[in-house]
Amino acid sequence: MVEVRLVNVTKRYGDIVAVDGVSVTVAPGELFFVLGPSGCGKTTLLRLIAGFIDPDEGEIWFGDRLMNRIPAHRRNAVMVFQNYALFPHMTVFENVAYGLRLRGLSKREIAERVESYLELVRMGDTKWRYPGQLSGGQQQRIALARALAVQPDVLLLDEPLSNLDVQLRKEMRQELKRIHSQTRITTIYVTHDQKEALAMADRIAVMRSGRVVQVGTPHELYRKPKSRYVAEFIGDANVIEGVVRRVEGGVALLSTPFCIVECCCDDAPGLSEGMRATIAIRPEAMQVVSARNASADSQAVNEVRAKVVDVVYMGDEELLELSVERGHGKWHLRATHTNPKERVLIGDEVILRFSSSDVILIPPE
Amino acid sequence: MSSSYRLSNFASRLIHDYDLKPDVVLAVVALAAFLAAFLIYPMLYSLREAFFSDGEFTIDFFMLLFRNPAVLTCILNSFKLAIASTALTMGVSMPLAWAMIRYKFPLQGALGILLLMPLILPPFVGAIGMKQLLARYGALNSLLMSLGLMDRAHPIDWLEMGFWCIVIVQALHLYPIAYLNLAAALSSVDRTLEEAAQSLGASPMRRFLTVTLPLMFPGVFAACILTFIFSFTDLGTPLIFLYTQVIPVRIFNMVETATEDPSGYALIVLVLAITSVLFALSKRLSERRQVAVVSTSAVSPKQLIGMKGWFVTLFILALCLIAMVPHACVVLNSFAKSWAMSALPSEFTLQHYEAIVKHPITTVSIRNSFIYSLVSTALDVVFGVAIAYILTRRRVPFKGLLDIVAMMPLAIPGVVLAFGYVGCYANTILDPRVNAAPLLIISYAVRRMPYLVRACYAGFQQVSTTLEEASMSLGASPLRTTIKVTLPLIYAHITAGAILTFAFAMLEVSDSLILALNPPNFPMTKAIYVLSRRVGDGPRIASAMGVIGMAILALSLSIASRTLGRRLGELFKV
Repeated sequence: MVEVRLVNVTKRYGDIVAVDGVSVTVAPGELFFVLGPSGCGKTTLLRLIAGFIDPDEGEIWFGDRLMNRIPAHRRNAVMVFQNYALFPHMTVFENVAYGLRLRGLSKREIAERVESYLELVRMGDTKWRYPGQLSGGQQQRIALARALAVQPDVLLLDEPLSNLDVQLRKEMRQELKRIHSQTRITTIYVTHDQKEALAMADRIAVMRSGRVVQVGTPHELYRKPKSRYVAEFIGDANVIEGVVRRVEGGVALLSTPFCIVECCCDDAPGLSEGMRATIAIRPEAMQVVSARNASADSQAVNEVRAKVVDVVYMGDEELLELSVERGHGKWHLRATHTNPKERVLIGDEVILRFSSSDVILIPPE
Repeated sequence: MSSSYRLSNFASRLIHDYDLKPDVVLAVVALAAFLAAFLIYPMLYSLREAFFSDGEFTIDFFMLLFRNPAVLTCILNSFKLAIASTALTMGVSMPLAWAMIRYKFPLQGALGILLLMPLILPPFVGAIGMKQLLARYGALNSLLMSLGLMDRAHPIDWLEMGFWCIVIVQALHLYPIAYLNLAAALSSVDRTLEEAAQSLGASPMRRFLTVTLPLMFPGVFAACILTFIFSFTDLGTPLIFLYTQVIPVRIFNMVETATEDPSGYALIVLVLAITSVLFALSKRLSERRQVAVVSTSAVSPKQLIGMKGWFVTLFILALCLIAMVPHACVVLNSFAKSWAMSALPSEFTLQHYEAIVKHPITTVSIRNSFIYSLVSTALDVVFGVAIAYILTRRRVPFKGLLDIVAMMPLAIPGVVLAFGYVGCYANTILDPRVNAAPLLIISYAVRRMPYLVRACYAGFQQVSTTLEEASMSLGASPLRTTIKVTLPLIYAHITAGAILTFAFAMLEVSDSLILALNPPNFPMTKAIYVLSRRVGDGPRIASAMGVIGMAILALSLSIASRTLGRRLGELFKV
């Protein structure tokens, strides 16, 4: 198990800064995710770690070994590609054996190792087939076996599931988790799929235009995003601007254009009266109550009266688009109505309630 | 009763499964008749002559061939020549393709065009120039003597090494085609596969040998076969260097006695068998292993900076210059009043060009070449469009067969086809000994037809059928749709293909040397050959003719590449 440490790594292409002063440390044996929209530099970061390209600035460490300028084939950091990159002219066996032959293993050792890793990815019966004869999901497993068989110090995964259909992707998430927990190889996993990251990661680094904006566990990123960008990129969020009215005993009261919001502010020591503040509330934190059954108090705390603009019925939940009008202003909110028993119709008036522990206070940027 | 039922069943299938409109039927029948008469029949005729004696099957002619030590020497030499040429050609074009595809360096675009220049000179014309350069008292020795690097009393006769002269001239002519094929093969290799190999621990050399090369293999093999077949069946270059112990020259010398001596047909069949097998092999290989890999890795060519980049530039430039030495010699020779015992001609003159204008053989041959090439190109355009149209747009029976037959000329060397013509059309209205013009035109057309079929096929495939359907739903007949919508859209493909066909017909060698038996029918290449053998200023006039040929070909190619844009290379690929 090897620790991967990036220190102030920068890579430029002409005027474009693809990776901009990134410093992160991946703990030994960790399943570490790099998450960001396309073009944010996450794949470039992975290729820097793999050694396909060299950084313009900064250092890449595997444990106590500085990897700058060491070519890819001497890093023992194996990459699994988005298109699997299985050698089409070799059988499954030869593909998995490829890296082992390079490491000078004996014929018997190679055969045994190939066998056991194909077993690990549950593809033992495809040995003599060619990649072209396998489905996408099967190719994915072989690519994984090929990478794992050489027992790399670092495993690099570049959007490995993005070419699979939804059902297969869910299955492979479980598979990858299982395989990682069995092998405990330091793994860096690049994806744009936040669900994948939340479901699998030990920790996630969120990237935006070449920079890492926040690193944390899935729970931390979801519950305590440090920026509006992270709040909106990971999960969905209603972002509301307000002004702090009172801070007392770890609880802050804010006035927003359409209601008074109470929230916890233990993590924001600098908060004081009169400051502008940004809060975010997850749609699923909104409790939807029909306005017919409840009277709304205009001075109520953490409660908004809104009009339904659009409804997307999903069976297990309803996604509601709502609008709130106050004076001349008009705001849009989203709420998820879980386990809906009565249908909400467009044009209905509803009351949204949320608990103060669900209000996310975003630090000023 | 049941047979008549079956017959009517067959007829109804023909009508329902295929669209057999009268115009399509007519076109298919005409095409089939032409190909049968001028492609299939000469081959069958050669086979019959080679295997049958007085109506009885025999392999005696082949036994005769293999017992003749002179023939065996020819076969051996031809193989040696082809292997050496192929090796040298691949040795030159592989690093070239690698540099051009994988790196960025100064002047790359200009070099990419310069690299293709050797195509404009048929190697046998270049050979005339090379002879001037390498003769005992030729330019090279004179240069070496004046530099004090060679003993004046004992000059080396480079031409004694005719074998290597041929290899060099052929390789210098063929490397652009090999390079285009290799470059295409290399650029189709998915770079992520190489990265995968690298990240699994493969060193650059190992990665090349275990991943890149195997993936390029169909392209590499195709390039090898192309070079091999060209060299194996090249008639002009060995003739000029007087290296007569090779198969094509032997066949050439047998033309006179073609009608009496069947062992010539045995040799023809042997050559045909070798080239067909090689060709079929390369076709099989390129069709297999077509794995559709979607490359997502945007790995761009590596920029070579500073000295490294210029080093590559200089290397390629030097190669281009060497490749153009034969051309330069031909040009110099055509302007030289006298050129012996000196590195450069001592005096320049235009008299050889004047001689061309005055001499009846030369003027007639230029006129002939233009007429033959234009007519054969016209034939090819009609056939190419028709075949490509039928293959892409119509359901007709035996479509696969039509495809195979239309591509067959690629595998049939000029010497083989021409020899077959001489034999099977002797004493008919087409007899080349009476008037070679019709058969010359037909042989040009047949041999270049695959290029136009392929160009048109690519064009038709690119034009969406929905455009045609739109035209027809607006009320246009299929024929009108083709003329008004489809053909204008594939105009560039047809033009480029036609120009290339024309250019190559102008400088076609083997058919011309074999079929043109009377001076009034001589095309340019035959006139060049005959002139080059004349003592005195013959080779100079031949060089002047060569320069004119080069100019025509260069002009044609540049027009073709302008019409077709950057896809010109596709036309040279197998």
